[in-house]
Amino acid sequence: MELTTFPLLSAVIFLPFLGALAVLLSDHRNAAASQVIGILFSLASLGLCFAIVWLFPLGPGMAFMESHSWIPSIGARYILGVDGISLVLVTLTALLTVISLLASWDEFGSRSGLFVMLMLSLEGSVIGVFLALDLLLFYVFWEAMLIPMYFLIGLYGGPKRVYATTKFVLVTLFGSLLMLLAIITLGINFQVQSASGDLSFALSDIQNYGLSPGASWFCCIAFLLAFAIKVPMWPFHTWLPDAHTEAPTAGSVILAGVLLKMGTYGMLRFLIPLFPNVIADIGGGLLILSTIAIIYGALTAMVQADIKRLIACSSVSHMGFITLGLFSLNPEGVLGGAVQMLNHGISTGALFLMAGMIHHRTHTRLIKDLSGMAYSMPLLSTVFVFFSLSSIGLPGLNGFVGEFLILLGAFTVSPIMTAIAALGIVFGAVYLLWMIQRVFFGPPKGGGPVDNSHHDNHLDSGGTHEASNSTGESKDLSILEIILLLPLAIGVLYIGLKPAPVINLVRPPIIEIVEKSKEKMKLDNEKRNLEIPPIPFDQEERFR
Amino acid sequence: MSAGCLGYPEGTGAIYEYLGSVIKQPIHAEHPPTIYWIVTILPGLLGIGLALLFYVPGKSPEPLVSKVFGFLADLFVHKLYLDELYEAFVVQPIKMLAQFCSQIGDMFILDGFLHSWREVFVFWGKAMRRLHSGQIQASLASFLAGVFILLSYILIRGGTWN
Repeated sequence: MELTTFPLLSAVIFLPFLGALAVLLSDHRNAAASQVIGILFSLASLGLCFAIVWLFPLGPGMAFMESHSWIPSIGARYILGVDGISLVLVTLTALLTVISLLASWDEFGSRSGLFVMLMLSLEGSVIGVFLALDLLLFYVFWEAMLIPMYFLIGLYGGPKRVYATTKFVLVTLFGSLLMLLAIITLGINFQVQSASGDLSFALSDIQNYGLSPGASWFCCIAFLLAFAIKVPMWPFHTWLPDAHTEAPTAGSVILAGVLLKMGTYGMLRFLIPLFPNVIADIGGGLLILSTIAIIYGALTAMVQADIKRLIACSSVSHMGFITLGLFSLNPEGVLGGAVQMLNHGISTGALFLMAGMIHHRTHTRLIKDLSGMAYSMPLLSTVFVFFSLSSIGLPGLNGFVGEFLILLGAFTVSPIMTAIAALGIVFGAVYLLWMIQRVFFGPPKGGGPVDNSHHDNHLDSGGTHEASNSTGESKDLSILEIILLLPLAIGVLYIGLKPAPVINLVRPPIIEIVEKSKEKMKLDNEKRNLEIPPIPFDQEERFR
Repeated sequence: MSAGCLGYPEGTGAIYEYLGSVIKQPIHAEHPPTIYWIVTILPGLLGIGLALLFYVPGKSPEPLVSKVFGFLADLFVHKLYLDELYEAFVVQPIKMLAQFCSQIGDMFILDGFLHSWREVFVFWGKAMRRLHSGQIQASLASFLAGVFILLSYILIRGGTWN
């Protein structure tokens, strides 16, 4: 079988699940063996992603499509496909999983087996979300992701882990169930209108039939709610700081790096193309919510005492930028949003990884207990500042590219909102640089951090411990840690200095999505014209 | 001040003349009125003169300056209190707003709303549990209440479900 005919996408999804099974069947009480298996399988998955990148034909349309009947009685199909947007996110997921597994090498002792299984299951589910082109299949992966994440936070998290994980799952489930109702509505709408009278949940099928205004509104709001909770948009964001603060480092990296992107990806892949009329109607409101998220997230980040919680709040702000770009509904803004998904995954993933490294050394994440780390750990401090600057959006680093495109796109729609949103960049610099000043450049505390390699994370009280700084010697970044951070740093610089390859990868599918949204808008308008007077033409002009 | 003396960057002064060979496109500027020249140089000269006047080797000029200029000196010593004004009118309000968003907005209003749903479910759960007491009368009462609600709904809708 040639590589091009090989079901690459299925392999990328199921290889991690296979790895989880292998860990289960092996002696999963043997921490080292479980971790080696986990890392090998996640590396294999990453290798397959690189193969897809290598073979990927640049341009619009889906590549490496797989389509099989799955549950014929309800019209569910197993349809997978990859375009530039999903390829970027799938590769990011695979990369961050490898990094997270390596970063957690000796963190959980005899419980490593289950941890590795959960991480691999999470990877498979998330990749499934990014590749599924059947709504029911998408929903299955979307929900499947909750299970490993629930246990990752609930079993391996901080002291308030049970509260955090319950909140995360309940809030997410609430949105997801509404989305399921909307998916069923769309399937039945297809069945009623199609000549064959069959049920179908395939995106390509559903997109070809118009929806009545009532059904459009219900489905759009249901999808929007599910995605808005996952992003999270303001005011659905309060689960995020709790989940991040209590999650283990690996969980936080994946949560910030890719799980939040599931929401924005869903908006881009399903929400905007399926309900362009409603999105155009409520687009102004969504821009306002995005702008509130940017400012509100930044403000709450300023007063956080815990590094991880601060980065989590900053994520609310940064995700606000992404939704601002997406809901500007023009190619520049949407492109900026898509590029920023990748950028945020890299920068914030790296910041959470480094917050974990700091915690590992000092037993604390409280800013007031950390000071003068730049004197004892110059390399760690420098790298942390580097990723912070990328998160702030310093020109030359990746964050700038995405934010610039977003602001460019949003400006054509609402200059006022854009001006307010730009203030979020200033606030971003304020909370991150202020945190850096206090953590790295204050007077050094005691004799420096201690070597804490045998520290058992699950018993740790998170940010509540006083810094342990009376004994031991300073320990800057180890070789392994440098190796873990290096690909992310290369990503930051590469996208910052030469964004064209990423933009060329992402731009064609975005143009296609905008075009398809226009077509769907016409279909919906035809359907709407049968029932109510025609809508003003300028609404279609929202999609340039 | 030196730039003012030399007439830069008006395009007609000595520095411009000197840079003439480097600046490819000549700047066509009219010669500025003499008053501009005076206004740019005079404050500098005055400053130098004052400094000489107050300068006493080995001694801080601050007491003397304070004596002569009073509150004006204090104003300049404290850089027009710009830092204090910035702290009071920019930093503190933003900090207060941030505290409000975090403590009141997130923890009280949004989380409070979320937690209130938990209370609603717990309340209803407890209320419903009373109906499942094991007594046949309670079950029958709830059954009859359900039938009554359904029949009322059908009657209100004119005898149909839809």
